[in-house]
Amino acid sequence: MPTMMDVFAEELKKAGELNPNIVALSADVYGSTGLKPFADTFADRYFEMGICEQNMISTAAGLALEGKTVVTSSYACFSPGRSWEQIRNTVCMDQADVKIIGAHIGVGSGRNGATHQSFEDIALVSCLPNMMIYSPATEREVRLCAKELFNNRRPSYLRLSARICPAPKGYHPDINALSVMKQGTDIAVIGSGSILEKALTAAEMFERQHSLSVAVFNLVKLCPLNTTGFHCLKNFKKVLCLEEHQINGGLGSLLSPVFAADASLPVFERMGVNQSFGSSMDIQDLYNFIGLSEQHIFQRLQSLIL
Amino acid sequence: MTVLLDWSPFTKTQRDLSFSEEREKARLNDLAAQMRLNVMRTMIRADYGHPASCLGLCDLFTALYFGGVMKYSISRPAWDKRDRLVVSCGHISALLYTALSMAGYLSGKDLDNYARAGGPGGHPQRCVEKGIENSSGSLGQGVGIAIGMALALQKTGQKVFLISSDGEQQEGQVWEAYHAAIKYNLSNLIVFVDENGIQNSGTTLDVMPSGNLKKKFNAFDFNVISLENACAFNIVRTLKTLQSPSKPSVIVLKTTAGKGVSFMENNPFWHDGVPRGKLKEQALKELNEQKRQTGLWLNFLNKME
Repeated sequence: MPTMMDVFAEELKKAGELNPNIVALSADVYGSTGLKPFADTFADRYFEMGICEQNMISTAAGLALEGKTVVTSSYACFSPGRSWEQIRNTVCMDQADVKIIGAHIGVGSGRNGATHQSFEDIALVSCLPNMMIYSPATEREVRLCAKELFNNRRPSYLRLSARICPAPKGYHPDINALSVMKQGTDIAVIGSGSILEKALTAAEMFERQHSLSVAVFNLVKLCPLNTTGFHCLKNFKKVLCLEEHQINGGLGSLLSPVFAADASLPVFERMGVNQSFGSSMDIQDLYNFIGLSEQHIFQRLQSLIL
Repeated sequence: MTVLLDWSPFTKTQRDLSFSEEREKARLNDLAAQMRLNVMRTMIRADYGHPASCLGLCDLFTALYFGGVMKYSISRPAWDKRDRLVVSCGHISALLYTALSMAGYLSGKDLDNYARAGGPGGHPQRCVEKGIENSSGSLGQGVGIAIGMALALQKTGQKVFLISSDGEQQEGQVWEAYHAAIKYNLSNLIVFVDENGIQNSGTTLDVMPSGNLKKKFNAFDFNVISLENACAFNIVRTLKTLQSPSKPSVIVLKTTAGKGVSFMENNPFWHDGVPRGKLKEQALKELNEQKRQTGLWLNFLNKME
């Protein structure tokens, strides 16, 4: 099964062929974070920085201030995790053209355990001025995000997971707007990232048992947030925000003010990791452990109609 | 306060320097004295700043901006062939701005508004048009920025000068960065470590000893040079020996914190204490007197020609 990092790797290599100004840095994880094909092809434009996430980011800023478009990669728990202050001061403050690739977001590979899992990255990055955040779910979205990333000339964060949400038939993603993954009329799920696969499964489980239907919406670009399409949510009875992230500081925290400010929007509830860490186990067990399995989402949908 | 005129050109039986070199030394010393006076005025006016390291580094800034070793263009600040000066210890902002003002990048009005609305910040924000290459203030991060710039400019022959402080070496990130400097053989990178022995909470020895910095940099395989209380002329002379180094260079620059103000010298209190009242008057009086003497000496040498 290809990961989002595999898809990004293809796009980065393609972009590297078109744009000699792109350089890439990693912190001893280039193979598992999507940089290897670029590094193998453009050896003089790849800088292995060693296990030094903080310096990787400041060095990237220095390269960007000299006109390069710079890609950095690590596990999201380490960058932006460990390198947050460098991102704040040396990338965002000077609007350096640095693309921070946070790989293995959410449950990651499962067995690596809590230190390698990242349920806090949106919280860390979304508070930073000048930062754009991309959180794709499908393969096509990863490719669209990559293309925009290499051309936006802005500090950007791309969060990639080890799983890819299969695109529903006829799905036309727009990474700059609320995109409909599944039509429905009663309950709306808004999510981001590959967890949407579970939302789609849970929605079908729900519809098999109830006469109500569930729409599933996808948001890819989280910052800046485009809320112009949110008026379509007015006719739903409830909206559930779903994320593979801590409830505090994640997608739900970004959407809450929108719902609080518009009384015509329906009741808004949030589902995600609730003030806990992950653990070391197989991925499906881990989704159960953190309360984000298909069954958990299904039960939550049921609770919305009680 | 005792400031002795430098009669060495006339008292030595065998002179180290030619007359024109003596005159160049006197010119730079006069500029450094002016810089010490100006930077103190700037900080006193703002009632803000970090006087100890600013006063200690005036010789270095004089060497860089007026010694002919750093390429820059006042008329074209963003000239792409310029060398880069990365100031990582951003708390010496008053000195950076003072030097930029003397070089012609900033106006007197800019200095008047130091660390106030509309003026240059208490810690620098990147503004290439005004000669400020990097934002700084969070210690350690400028070292990484300098590494990135040196990587980008490695094949152009342009130099990246980095100013860091001894306290800053306590940040782990700087050692991450030094690894990269060596790995990528950034011979266009010249690091100055200001070893003034003080920091925010006391002496470096008390807070967190730096150890033997020269040994540490040697162990990293830097090209290491130590200078103790070097005047601007000697710093320039040292830099001229580094025209084509084969590896990254570091100059461990032992300076006197608070240089030129008797009650400030080597006293950690003045790391970020700006003198007021009588102490303010005394500081300015001492620095004025030094400037007067360096000026007299320079005029004397100029008239000797």
